[in-house]
Amino acid sequence: MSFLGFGRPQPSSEEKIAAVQAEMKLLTQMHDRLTKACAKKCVPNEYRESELNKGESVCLDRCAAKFFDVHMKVSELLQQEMQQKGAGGGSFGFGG
Amino acid sequence: MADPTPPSAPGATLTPAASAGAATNPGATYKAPKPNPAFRMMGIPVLPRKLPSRNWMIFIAVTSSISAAIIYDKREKKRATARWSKAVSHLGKELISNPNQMPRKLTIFLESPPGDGLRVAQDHFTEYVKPILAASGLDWEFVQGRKEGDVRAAVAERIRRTREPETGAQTQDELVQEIRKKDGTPEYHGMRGDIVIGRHTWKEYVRGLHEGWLGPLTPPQIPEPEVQKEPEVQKVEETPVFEGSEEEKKETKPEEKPEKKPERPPQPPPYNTTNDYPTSALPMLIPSEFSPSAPIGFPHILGFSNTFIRTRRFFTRRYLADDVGREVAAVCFAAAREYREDTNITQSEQQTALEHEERDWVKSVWKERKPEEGEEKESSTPVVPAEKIWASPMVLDPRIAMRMRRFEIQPEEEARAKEIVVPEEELEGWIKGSLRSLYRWAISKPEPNPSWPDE
Repeated sequence: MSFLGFGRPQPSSEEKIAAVQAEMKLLTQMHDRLTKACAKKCVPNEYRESELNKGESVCLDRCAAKFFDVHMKVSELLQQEMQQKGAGGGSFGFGG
Repeated sequence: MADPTPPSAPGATLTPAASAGAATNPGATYKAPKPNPAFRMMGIPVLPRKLPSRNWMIFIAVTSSISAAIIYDKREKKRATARWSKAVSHLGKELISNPNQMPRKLTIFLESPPGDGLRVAQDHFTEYVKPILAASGLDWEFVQGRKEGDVRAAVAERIRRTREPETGAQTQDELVQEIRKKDGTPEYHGMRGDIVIGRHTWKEYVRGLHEGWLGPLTPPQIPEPEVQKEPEVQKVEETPVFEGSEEEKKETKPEEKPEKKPERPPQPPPYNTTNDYPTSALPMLIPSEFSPSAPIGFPHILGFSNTFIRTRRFFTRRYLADDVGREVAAVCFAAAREYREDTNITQSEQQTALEHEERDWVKSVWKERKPEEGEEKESSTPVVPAEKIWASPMVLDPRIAMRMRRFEIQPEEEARAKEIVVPEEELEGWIKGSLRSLYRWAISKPEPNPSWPDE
């Protein structure tokens, strides 16, 4: 095991970078989606002032919080599903 | 058809030709309104000559009047809500001075009404309260209770946390607060506010205030909740063990699921009773006035025999929307006053607020109490019966009651809100809206087409 463990990190510099890049990409995508969704919901298209007003800022706050909430929930469910699928395929075809 | 020609009636029996000739002479003036040739060319038929039959008339009249009442009420309800949200919208349109500044945050107390679920309370909030809050640019958080005593426990626990000397951060809110403190995010220092929806929540809210400020900081000694806690701890320990071997986990899954249901933490028991109020001392750091509150009506009546009452309420929801809107707008404007004392009845306003709603509650709220208590007294088990906050009268301690404040709308604000006219276009639904847009499109000047000759 330890050999394997040592063996793994050797090509890591590239792999790690790739993994970090993938994660960054994921994060940026999520950020993009969040910005888009919340701006669409909260900021009207008539830009009268340069600043946000109170209503908009609160709306953005709540929107972002909801977004992350939903994101967490969905990813949790997805993980569960994946686990169940993996377990079901591994042992027997009982997908409760 | 034959009525306008009674003299020709005997002739009609003789020959059809004669009757036709007789009918044309007097009927010439009667039949005069010929169908408009333009309409006829377009294939639009003539209007029917007679009214539909009596039964049809009854049906049409009843249906259309009911639907008209529903539509009218719905639109007026929308109008009332929209008016109040317009009245507060200037608060939301203020520019933010410092982007890090926390907004004013309200707390909304929701609880499932007696005999029903939490959802109806949430729907009530969404329908009547939320539009106005959303327009006002205030932030809010929820305290939601599913059964009697939840709100009481939550209110008391929050107060106890503020009373307690600095202990380690425990709840997620407190963690967030600490991060904010570290970052130097400015707190909101103005008036906060509590919106309490429904009489049942209001009773618990008041009880929770008393419990939090007058009760001890340490929970009372009850063996029962500890017993409940232990299996939970075991469960948490057990689950990772099962995850190790997949097959075992699979097998135990069905058993686990029913166990998971009571995972919701048990409701903390009340730390004091209403009898303890006069003897308990006020904590040192009690503020001279609490954050103001607004009890907001939540008419909710169940039962088939109450169908007429329910129908009436259904058709007059516009008044409810207006009342609720006024209360919520008062919260947004943050003008508060003391709770008044009724001079003649010697009941304070806290006790009488929304009192009429108690009559709507299901009987079981009042009834269940006696047999349950009797049983528990007979059995004399250590299990403390759940406190019946809804059914018992509200007990106030003057020291707490004088610190409570109530939101009230200023008359000038109310007058200003009355002036606001909500344009019809903001209220109308899909049908009228699409008709209007169709009309707009029809009368609008066509787009200048460059290929057309310029006129």
